[in-house]
Amino acid sequence: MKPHAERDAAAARLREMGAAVETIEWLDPEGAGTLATVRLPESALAALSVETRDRIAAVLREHGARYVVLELDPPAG
Amino acid sequence: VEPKRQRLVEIVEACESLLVGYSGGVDSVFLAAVSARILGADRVLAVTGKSASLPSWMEDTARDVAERFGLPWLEVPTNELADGRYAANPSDRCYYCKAELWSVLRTLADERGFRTVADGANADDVGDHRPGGRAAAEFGVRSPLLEAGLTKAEIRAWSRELGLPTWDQPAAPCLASRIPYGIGVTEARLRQIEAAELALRGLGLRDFRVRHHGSFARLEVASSEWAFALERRGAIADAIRAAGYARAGLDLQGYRRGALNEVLRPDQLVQIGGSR
Repeated sequence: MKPHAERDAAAARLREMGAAVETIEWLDPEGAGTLATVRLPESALAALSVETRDRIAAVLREHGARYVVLELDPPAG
Repeated sequence: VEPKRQRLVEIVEACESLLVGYSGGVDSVFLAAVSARILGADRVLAVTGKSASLPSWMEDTARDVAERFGLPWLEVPTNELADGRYAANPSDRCYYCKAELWSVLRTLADERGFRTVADGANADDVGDHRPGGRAAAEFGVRSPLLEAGLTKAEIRAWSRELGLPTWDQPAAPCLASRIPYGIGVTEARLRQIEAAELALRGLGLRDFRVRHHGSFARLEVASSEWAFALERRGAIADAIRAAGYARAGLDLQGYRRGALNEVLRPDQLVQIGGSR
């Protein structure tokens, strides 16, 4: 599967699992391989458990991400 | 623990005089302090190799503890960055750094009449990827804490008893450990990482790493500080950008020791003593 297809497949799986993910980006920064950056809604951030973090990371790693990070910047605009 | 403590006393006594590679970290500070108690301060010299890869807060700790506890202390320049084999950042980068350090410290020990050169490796370091251990072996550097079987937890406990401020200090390897293997180590990158980490320390984070991926900073934070990091994520992003990164992300897996070693193949791993 191509990277964008992997990203879309991972997003679909996370939605099926009920994870509240707003966006997923597939990046390729220096020395990171594929790095997935996810944005969660404010309401989900406050209640983000270790289990949920691990689940999101595991799904994205299964789809080819070496690292999975939470977007730190607020949404543009 | 008591037999291990006794064993350490015996090992240090047998060294007669000791020059300790002293980075300002938990282990080397403990070794220097306990050795000064065992041998007397006049038979111990704590030496910090000052280079671009040493975080400034480690240098400050090294100096402060030496002054406070009356440890004879020297800072000497080391220049691993001048070695292209180090700067290329291979998976055994630490070997070239430690070869430079121990070469300088061994010469210094000979000049000043110190019989033994020692590092702060401990029993928990066995099994880790530690190519620097090969350099230590080549230069005849002893590891009294490891030889006594002392673990990090035991060293922290004993440090606390001795009143050392480093007893609960997070592990703090050199700044180059934030750069993925194969991406060159440069002074500019080290300064950028240091600036970002200094700013995050200023915000109150203690146990974390800024992993350098070009214009992207991947922040690993210990589980205990995850909630704090989330709460301050706006300030964290601003601080990281102020250090020159275009973008930053908080790693969902959190801080893990040696995270950049996860990509290494088994045949690239080097353990203490130089075995693969």
